[in-house]
Amino acid sequence: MFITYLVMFLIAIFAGFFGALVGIGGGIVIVPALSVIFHLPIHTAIAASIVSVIATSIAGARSYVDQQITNVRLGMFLEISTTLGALVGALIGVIVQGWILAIIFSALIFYMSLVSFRTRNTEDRLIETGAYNGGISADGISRSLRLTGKYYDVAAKSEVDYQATRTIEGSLISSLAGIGSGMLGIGGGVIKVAAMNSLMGIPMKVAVATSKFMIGVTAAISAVVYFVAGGINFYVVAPVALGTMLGATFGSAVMNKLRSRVIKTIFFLLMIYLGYQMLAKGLSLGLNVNLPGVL
Amino acid sequence: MNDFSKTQESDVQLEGATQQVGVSLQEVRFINKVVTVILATGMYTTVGFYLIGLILFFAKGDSIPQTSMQYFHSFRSVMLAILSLSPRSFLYLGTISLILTPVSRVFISIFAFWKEKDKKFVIVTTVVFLVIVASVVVGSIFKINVG
Repeated sequence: MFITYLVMFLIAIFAGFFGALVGIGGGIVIVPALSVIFHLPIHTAIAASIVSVIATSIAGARSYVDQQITNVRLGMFLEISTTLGALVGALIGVIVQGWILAIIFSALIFYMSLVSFRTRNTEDRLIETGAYNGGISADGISRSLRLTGKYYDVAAKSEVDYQATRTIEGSLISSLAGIGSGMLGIGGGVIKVAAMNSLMGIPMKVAVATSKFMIGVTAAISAVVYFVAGGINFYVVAPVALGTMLGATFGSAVMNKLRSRVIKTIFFLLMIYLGYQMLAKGLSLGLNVNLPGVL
Repeated sequence: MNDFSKTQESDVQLEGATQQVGVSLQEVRFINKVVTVILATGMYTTVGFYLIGLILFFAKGDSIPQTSMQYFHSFRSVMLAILSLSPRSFLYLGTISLILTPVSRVFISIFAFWKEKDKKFVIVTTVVFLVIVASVVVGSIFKINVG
């Protein structure tokens, strides 16, 4: 039994480390690990994963806010969209069929993965020349709420200024992230990072840190509901949460030392994987077509 | 990503915009400090409860229950369980402090923005907090997963 806990803990460290690098919760690793490797019922696995997402968000966000990479104001602003989206998503979940949403999400994720891949080299160049926001001017909302900031990029050894643009589009996509995590239970962080980086003109590292900061809130709402319903197994949650916190602490200490290109490439691969999983889920639920390599 | 390659002309416009839009470093440092302290407090409290709970659990040598848990129904029953060193009560409190951390981060930020006289963000943060409360109520009543 001690071995079971140790393996669970090690997998959680990996999920936390990886999640901190790209700004996601790590449910994509935790849920299949708990259900496939440890044969836990899927509901127990999802509930444990949601609580561990809070843990990893707290540990990662604590470090990134302390390193002055997170844009707290931007995060708070987008939290309106993600929390409202999650509420709406849960309510319309009864009306719209999950498989249709899964296919729409898969298309959105594939599209954003391409944007991320195409801009992977541009971003490093912009950071090195110190002109990240060259040409991007803040829109009305961004100016009014002062959604701007700067961070020190350790890999590029330069200070990077930026300001948010296309805030309305960014908010809409973020609310989709909320709807998705409400209905499909996975992928909230990925969409938030992509919306901030590819759409709103936010540097990748700030998008990662700010997403990490935000995901704890939607996960906490979900966790309270599971908690009230009595669906949380503390004996599974404790080792997983401790592991993801440790992993996220390591990951957030490393992230700023990596080139944005590296982070964006890892992120691109993750999105391809997630997009495929979503497509497979949609096809299997809706049309009974089973794609290979799906857990 | 066409926006990245615009001409110098817009760079000039941008400098004006940056000054208008800018947040002072002091402001950012204050709110970041508040958030860091809340998150660190929540994290260490949770780690403390979980570690004690797991150590007691291993000391007693039970097996991992496969099903979901029975909760405590009163403050008194939690306190009695803690005094009898029940692992479950420590894991229970650890989970509560974990879940409450992001929520209190939002709640306390309302006052941090208030202190900074940033009315717009007092409103933004209050809206987020109210949506959290609404979601928890809706989710718990209708037994649906919100978030």
